Amino acid sequence: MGTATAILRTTMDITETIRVCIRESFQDDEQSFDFGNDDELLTILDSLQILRMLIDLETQYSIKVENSELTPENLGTVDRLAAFIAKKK
Amino acid sequence: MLKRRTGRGDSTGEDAVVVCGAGAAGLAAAISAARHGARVVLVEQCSELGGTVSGALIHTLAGFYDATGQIMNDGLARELTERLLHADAATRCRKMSRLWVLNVCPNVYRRTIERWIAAERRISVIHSAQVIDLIRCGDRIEELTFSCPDGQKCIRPRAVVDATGSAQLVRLVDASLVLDDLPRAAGGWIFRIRGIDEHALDFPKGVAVVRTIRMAARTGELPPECAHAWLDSGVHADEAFVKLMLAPKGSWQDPRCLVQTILQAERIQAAVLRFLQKLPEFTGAEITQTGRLGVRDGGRIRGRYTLTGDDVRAGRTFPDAVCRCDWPIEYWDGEKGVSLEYLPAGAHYEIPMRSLQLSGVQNLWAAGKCLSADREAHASARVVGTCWAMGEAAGAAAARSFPNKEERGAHEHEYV
Repeated sequence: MGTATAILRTTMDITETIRVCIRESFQDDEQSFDFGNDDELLTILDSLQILRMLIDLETQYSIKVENSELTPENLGTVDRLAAFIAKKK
Repeated sequence: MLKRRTGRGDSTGEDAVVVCGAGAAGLAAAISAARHGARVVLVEQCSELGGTVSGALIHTLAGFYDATGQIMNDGLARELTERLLHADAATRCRKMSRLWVLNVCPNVYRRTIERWIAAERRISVIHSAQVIDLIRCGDRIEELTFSCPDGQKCIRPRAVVDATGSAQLVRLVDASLVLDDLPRAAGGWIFRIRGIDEHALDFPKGVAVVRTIRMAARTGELPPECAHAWLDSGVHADEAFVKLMLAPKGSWQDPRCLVQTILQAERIQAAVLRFLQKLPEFTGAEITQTGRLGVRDGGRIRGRYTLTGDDVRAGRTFPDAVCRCDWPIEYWDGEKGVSLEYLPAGAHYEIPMRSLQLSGVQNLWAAGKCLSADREAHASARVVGTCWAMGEAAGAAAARSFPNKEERGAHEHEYV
């Protein structure tokens, strides 16, 4: 497996983890609450849920997100967040 | 049967619907009863109207809209949102994840409802007053005694709405009819700061500021109570509301506990301001307003029906429904912080009239935060929009219970 494919796989896995995190925030299933990976994260979660998800993701991937990294480029959508975490790992 | 009598003070307000508490439920009850033809006496313990919203600086009003941003309950709740949107260009509907809220300056809310109440000619307001005694005759409340700045007054009401938020009237009827169960939901302390840089709280910078405060609470730089502190953007660009969560040290009914909590809140508030002023975008921050302690759960009545968390989760409907609600179960735990349990997408539940009524007292309704509900259902139903809708229903029922002359004659005969 090439490096590019490996990164893609990792990012896809992280995307799925984030999606599970979001669904768990609502104790809900995908059928009744659909959202796209390029939807604005703030239209899916409230900021308290985003804060909680960040803490979960930091623990799960053993990473430390600095406050200076909390930008729309890194956190704006599920896709951007997944790419950011993949880079941090 | 004459239960208690004080026999002091002037007698006034014969036949009026008496509404105690001028918060969300009480305002709605008073307006609703007046519009149903009753003469209304609105008794408020503070010098201002507005209850928790204007007093505790609630700036994000919940419970007015459904998941699609449409009005949840028609009537006075809708009328209020329209008046608030009209009163100030800064008032706006905002989507917070899947919930819609109304962002409004608490002072605009207070001015709007003061003007509204002043224009309702059937309502007379008694400020800085508190009911201290009542006489119950069989299944009716016959007389209320209240203290106010110019002494004590008595009212012989036709109907009474307890919208005190802590069931003060129901406690006078029978203290065992009020549930003060443990653990008590945390109180809220909000203060307003101005002078911060514009966009200082734009997403996701606000998340970073909150994280910084919470980390400082863990390292000891800020008091441990700041572990659940929250910052919310206000209605103006240079404004933020800082929200602290305070675990009660005892019963909210105990004045010593209240004073201790308030002193503690003031100390934490000063520490948070000093801390914020060290952050680059907050160097110009100044406190412009401090709210009073917001008590989320000051006690709930044991009514004819107790709404439960399971009713909320199941989206239960009732034949005697008075309003709808879809707000999540938002429980504030002093130790663990806030937890939000959302209803399934698109679901809502109803609140029955029986949750606003007691068995055995015909002319008393309890509306708003002191409705009959378990802790979980209360954590959802207590939001402002729902309190307005509950109050409207209670006020209408109280006005309808107003006996006409013939009924009153029959009624008096019964008691002779």
